[in-house]
Amino acid sequence: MERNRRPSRHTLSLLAELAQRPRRWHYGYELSRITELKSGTLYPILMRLCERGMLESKWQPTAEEGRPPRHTYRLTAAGVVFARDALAGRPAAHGRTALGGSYT
Amino acid sequence: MSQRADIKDRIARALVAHAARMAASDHTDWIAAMAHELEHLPKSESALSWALGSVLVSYTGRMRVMIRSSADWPRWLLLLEMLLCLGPVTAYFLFVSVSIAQGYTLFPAQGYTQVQEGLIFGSATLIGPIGLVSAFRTLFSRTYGPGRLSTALLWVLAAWTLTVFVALLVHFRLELVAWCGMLLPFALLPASAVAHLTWFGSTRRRAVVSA
Repeated sequence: MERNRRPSRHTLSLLAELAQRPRRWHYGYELSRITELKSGTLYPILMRLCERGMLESKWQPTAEEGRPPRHTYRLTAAGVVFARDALAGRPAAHGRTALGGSYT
Repeated sequence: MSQRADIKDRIARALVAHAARMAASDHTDWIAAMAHELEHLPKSESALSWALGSVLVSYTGRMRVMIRSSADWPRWLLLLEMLLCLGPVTAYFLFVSVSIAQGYTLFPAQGYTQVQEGLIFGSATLIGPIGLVSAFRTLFSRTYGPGRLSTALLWVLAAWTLTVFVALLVHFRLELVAWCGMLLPFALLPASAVAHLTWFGSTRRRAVVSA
């Protein structure tokens, strides 16, 4: 039997933000500011979303002199579907779980 | 930048560097991402809070790798771990039981009755024998792992043990050496054993669910 747990409210608020403009690349700090998630909460969620193929990430160079490149994120096609389902309160149609109960 | 802000900035950078050093190999990219993002935080933002987050992520990842790898440890090593963690508190439980049964009181000067001492110290050390039984069952059975109820009970006992020993140390105003000597073997090691058993239980439940 598969467990289908609803993602946590932190995950949902992040998914809501990412799903608003799914084709746009988002910065970690920007997501943290908008969702009001601390970095220690935000990044584990981003990591799990990436692990499960819901999110893609890439390094993006910045125009500002002397500043390091930034990691950016956006939903994959599967992630967009998952986000819509999760935000609508529907159980996920994907593999194992609705991103698992380990989400905080 | 004020001197205070400068110090905070330096501490934040040091924390992120520490997080990068501690990161598990599959997390290095993520910790680097957090470190780079720190350089893009507006000056008004708390870099310290961001950096503490990176330390948390790094430590959590490292611990997860350590716990995950423990599934491959040989059984004798896991048994040794459980005996080391739960042995001292079990021995103390036996000592309390025998003392009470023979009519001795543990702290005669305090004026507690035997029943009071038995209830307090017996329950506070109960985590030892119960934890050991659970550990033996887990290690010698291929399918058993403590269920949610057993896990909850173990955690309640571990919390109670910690509470009693901290209260004892505070009440008797004992020194730091005594804190280490009592808290580590009788409260912290049992709690770590319970944490490991919890992990085993959840792993085995998942295995049963997906079978």
